[in-house]
Formats: sequence, structure tokens, C-alpha cells
Amino acid sequence: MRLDHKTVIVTGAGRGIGRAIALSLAKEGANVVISDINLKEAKQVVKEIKDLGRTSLAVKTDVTSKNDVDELMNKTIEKFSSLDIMVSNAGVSSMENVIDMPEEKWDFSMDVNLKGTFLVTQAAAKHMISQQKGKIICTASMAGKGGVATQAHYNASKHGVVAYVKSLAQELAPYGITVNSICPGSIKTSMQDREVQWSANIRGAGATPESIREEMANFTPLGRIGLPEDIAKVVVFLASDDSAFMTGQAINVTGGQINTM
Amino acid sequence: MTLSDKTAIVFGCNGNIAQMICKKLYHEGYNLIVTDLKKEQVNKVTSEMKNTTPIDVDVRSEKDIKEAVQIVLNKYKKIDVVVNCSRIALFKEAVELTEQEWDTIVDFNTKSMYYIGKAVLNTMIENNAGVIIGMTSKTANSGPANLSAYSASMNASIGFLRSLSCEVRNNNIRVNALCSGFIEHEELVLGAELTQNEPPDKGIYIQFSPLINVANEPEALANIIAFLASKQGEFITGQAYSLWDDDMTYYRNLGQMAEF
Repeated sequence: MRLDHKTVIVTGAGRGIGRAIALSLAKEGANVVISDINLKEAKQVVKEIKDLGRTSLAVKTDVTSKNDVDELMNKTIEKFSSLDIMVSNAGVSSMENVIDMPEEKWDFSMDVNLKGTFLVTQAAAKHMISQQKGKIICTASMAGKGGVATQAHYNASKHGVVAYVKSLAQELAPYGITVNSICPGSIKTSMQDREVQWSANIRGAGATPESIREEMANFTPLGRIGLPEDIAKVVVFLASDDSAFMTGQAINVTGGQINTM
Repeated sequence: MTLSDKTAIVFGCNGNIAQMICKKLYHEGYNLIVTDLKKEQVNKVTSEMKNTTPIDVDVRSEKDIKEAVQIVLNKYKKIDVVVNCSRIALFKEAVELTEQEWDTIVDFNTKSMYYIGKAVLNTMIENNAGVIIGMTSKTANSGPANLSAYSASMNASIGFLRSLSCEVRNNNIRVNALCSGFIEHEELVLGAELTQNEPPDKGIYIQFSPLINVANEPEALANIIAFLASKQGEFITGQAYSLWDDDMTYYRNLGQMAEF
């Protein structure tokens, strides 16, 4: 298997894309630390990974807290002695027009999605430099490349992740560490369940979550909403030696959808 | 040409680019308001331009920005053009960057865009007209080493401006970003000051233009701002303009960055 004996941390791994990434990495042989702010969900994923015959560990982490992130690293190194792959995936979304957006909403998006990425990858980088190897993968978004109404705070944070990853890749290349991001398109997760509900509410006029989803699928050249597993497959590739010569990239996994304007 | 019924605000005027933008808008005939974190800086820049209003504003403070907008509205009744040139930079590896340094850079560069955009939207929507331009950087796209927080903040600003452009497209408000190709000495000096670091000797020229050099890039950028603000730019929104192609990977990967 491609990731035998590798140690991986996945943040935001309790559900959705993070959970699918964790399970896919484990299926390839990796031992996976499940980091999430929701410890109950994290423990459930740990159980699923142990059922696959891998070692796993649940750590409650608020990625906006440097203390929590340091604790996540310490617990991982204590149990596994090394960290080969860091998947910085924890993220949040909400919808609001700029004109009505309270500052708290802006801060929450920027803190979790962008600053969280900085804190998590910085902690991983410090350890990986001492190993002179490692792979860092960040979940950005299609929103990291284009802009849509009601998600200015989310688009700002994800654009930030895309650029941050490019800079970090330049800095860590001399140590043999690669840094890439993935940009998921419309993916069926609980985050999307909320988004399509918000969209339907905002639009009114008979719009339903189902009709919004159908519209998303119609905007996607491959004709369907993506699944978390679609993203996980690309993360497995980025985590493996098959992607050894790739760094600083932002990989679209969108079914061909281009979210520009 | 005179635009004496048009009003423009420029936030941040401590670098050559911002000063060139101020001069350009002044000569185009706008009623000009210039702000900066430092009172002496804004007074210095406006002293050469008659009837220009100086206001000291910390763009990390929503209160400061709202007050500045109110001063302008009291004086001129409306705001036609807003340019945010507030930027700071810190040249430091991501692994060495403190949380406080990260926050300072992202707040100054990106949150300021959100505060400023939000502060002017009501009056622009009421007038069914307006132009918002954010001065960002080509690092948003290239992501050079030692500028991770700066690159992240610049691309985050572009993401914000792109979304905002979608939200106000039916209000005849245009929102664009402009990307400069070098980091001004003043950005690094102010960045060092606000993060309690040693100021660097020089600015950093990240990428090399085949057409222009560091000496005349500010003027070229100012010309584009004037164009985007004018009637000629009325079909342009949601864009991030640079002055030249981005494919300078060769220099970037070799770590070749000329100082000036």
C-alpha cells in the first residue's frame, strides 16, 4: 500500500471531507490522528479506522488556538514518534452579504479557515524540518479562486489559503517538504446541506435545497455533485510519493466547474 | 478635464504608489480626501495639493473608518471612488512568524478592505454609483518565500473584492483590485514598526517587468486606477489587474529577488 507506516494528522476529520480523507489514507496503510473540535465525532472516526487495522487517536482541537495545535502535535509525536503528512482541513462556512455582515462572522471565517491553516501548518513544518521530509496538504476551495455573492468572508479566507500555500511551499522546498492545496467544488457534506438551505431561504420563490443542488449539478460539467471520497482520492495522491515533484499547487477537484464570477 | 463634483478617498499614503495615485486623482479633478495611520504623513502628502482633506485613520479600526467616511459625506454629500492603499509587509519565514505578527498583517491588509467596503456601501447603493479599488500585490498569485502572511492577506483581499463585486453588481458599483509587482520600502518599514521588528534597509522587487521598472511602476499603477475610476472603466468589475504576466517562476524558484 502506498502509505504503509506513515503517520498522518487530519484536522476537521470528524465529518465530511476530513472524515473521508482520514478513512482513505487509513485504507492506504496510514495511521491517522483524528483532530476535530467535536471529540465525539472524532472518536467515532477513530473507531472506523481501528476497524481497518490501523492505529488511530482522537484529539480535540480548536485550530484557532495555538495551545490546542501544539497539544495536537505533542500527542501525535508522543504516540507515533514522527509526523509524515499533515492535512489541514478544518474549515467553516456561512452566508451573508457584506453590507449586513457582523464583524464576528468575518473574524470566525478568517480565524478558522486562514489563521487555523497558518497555525496547523507552522506546527507541522517545525517538526518536518527536523525530519528533512514531509508532506503538507491544505483544503482550500473553488472559492479560493473565484468570488460569489454572500460568501465574501469565505472567499477571502480561501484565497488566503491558496496564496499562503504557495509561499510556504517556496520556504519548505529546501527541506524536502512539499505543500499543496486542494480546491473542492460542490461536494455533498453537512456544510453543503446548510449552504443549500441558506441559498433556498435567500432566494425564496419556490427554491428548495434539492432544486439548488440540482442547479449546482447542472453547473458542473461532469453532471453531478461531488462526494467527499472524490476529494479524498486526490489527497491520497498528494500524500503519496506519486506526487513527489509537485509543490505549491492548488488542485481543482470540481467536476470541471469553474467558479470565477 | 474637471470632475469637481466627484469625490475620491485614498486610504493609506505612506508609499510612492499611494502618493502617485493621490496626485493622479487630484490632477484629474476629484475632490480628494487622503488618510494615513500617521498624521504627519497625511499632512505632508496633502500639503502639496490645494483643498485636499487630510484625515488620520488607523484602518484596523472600524470606528476610525466610519468617522472618516462621515466627515467626507458631511463635506461632499457622496463618495464616488475609494482606493485602499493600506498595506504592510514583513519579510520573515512562516516557521518564525508569531501569531501576533500574522494577525497584525492580515488585519491591516485584509480586514481593512472589509471595513472600508462595508463603510461606503450604503452611500454608494443610495447613489446607485461607486467605484471601490483595492491595492494588492502580485504576491497574491506568485506566493514568494518569506512573505506568507503578506501573500495570504493580498489574495484574501482579492477574494473579498471579487465576492463584493458580485453582491453590488446591480447597484452600479464596481469593485476591482490592482496588483503591484514590488513591495515598497515603506510597507516593510511600517510592517516592522507595527510588529516590533527591525526595519529593513530596502524594499523588495519580487518580480521583473519586461516593460517598466520600479521607478515608474507607481505612475503606471496610478494611471490604471484613474482609468478604472473613470467612465471608460464602467464595464470592468471583479478583476485583479497586474501590469505584466505572472509566469516568473524561474526567478522565484531560484530565490532571486532584487533589492532596490
